[in-house]
Amino acid sequence: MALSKQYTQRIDSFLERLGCDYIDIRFEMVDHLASEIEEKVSNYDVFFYKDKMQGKFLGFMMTRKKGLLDNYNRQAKKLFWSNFGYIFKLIAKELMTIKILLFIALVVIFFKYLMQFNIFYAAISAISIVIISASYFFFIQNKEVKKYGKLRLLFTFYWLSYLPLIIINPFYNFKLILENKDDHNIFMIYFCVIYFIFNTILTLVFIKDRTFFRKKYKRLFN
Amino acid sequence: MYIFAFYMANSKLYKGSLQTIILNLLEQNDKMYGYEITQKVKEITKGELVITEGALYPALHKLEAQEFLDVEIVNIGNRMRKYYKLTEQGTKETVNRLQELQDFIKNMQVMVNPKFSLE
Repeated sequence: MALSKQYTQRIDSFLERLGCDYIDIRFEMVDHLASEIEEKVSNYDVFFYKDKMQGKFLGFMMTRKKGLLDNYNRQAKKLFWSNFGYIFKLIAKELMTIKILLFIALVVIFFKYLMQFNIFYAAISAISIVIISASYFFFIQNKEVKKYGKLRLLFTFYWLSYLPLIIINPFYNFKLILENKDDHNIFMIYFCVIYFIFNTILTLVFIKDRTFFRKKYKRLFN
Repeated sequence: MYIFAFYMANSKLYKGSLQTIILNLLEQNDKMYGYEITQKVKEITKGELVITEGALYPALHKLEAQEFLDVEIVNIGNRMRKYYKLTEQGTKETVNRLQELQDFIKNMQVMVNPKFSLE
């Protein structure tokens, strides 16, 4: 006999409180545990002890707590790297297209020309497009995060987009730009142009891929 | 015998064949979910081989990432269930891996019992 929604929810809540946040991993753990309970337990009411806090269910879950958490963390880590590889394959595919190569060429030529004209203005322009690019990606991703936020794949996109900015932040900042030191500005221009190109391709890949993960995971979020 | 990463020393012998075991099972059954796979293996080996969740799901996700498996998330009433089935690529890969495993077993038999080699 199948577990009721209430008892399934108890398993889900336990795992969520344990720290298993990513729903694409957690729902499979719920199904596995529920299937095991359905096979081994005859009286669900007694097992779940629905009227009181203590019960065999809690004992059942607590004995598996470490294993469940290890399993979840291992899956989350492997899924992160597998998503990472998946996203980079999509980025590599995009890089083979003529329109992207043309886009890269135009951006590089534009900033090369701007640097010859004035390095300070080129640095300000480069930083501005990074802010616009990162904001736009944040805006379109935020819509998906509100609905599908607890998907590991979404988190990987998010991490890929913002990690370069987090890494570069302690080393170069606006104060150095305003001091108008050429070598710092030139480094910032190169970084910003590379980041802008990368983030644009990542945004494109995200927009194309969201149809795929919306379709794959829609049942989890309905 | 439990297949779980880094546990019992002789489980290493089985660790390398876990993906082949999964692919072979899915070839014989249209689609299966995680718990069903563990129970099927336990049933076939009469309890000798027990695959834990810690070993099974990473293997399934890896096969999925390699596009050997396709997934289908189904509402079974009060919860969601993820079914795995072989892709076309997965079917071809299953044949290759089973052949590799058979060659491995043959070679190991020769190594362990050279008197009984058929060649």
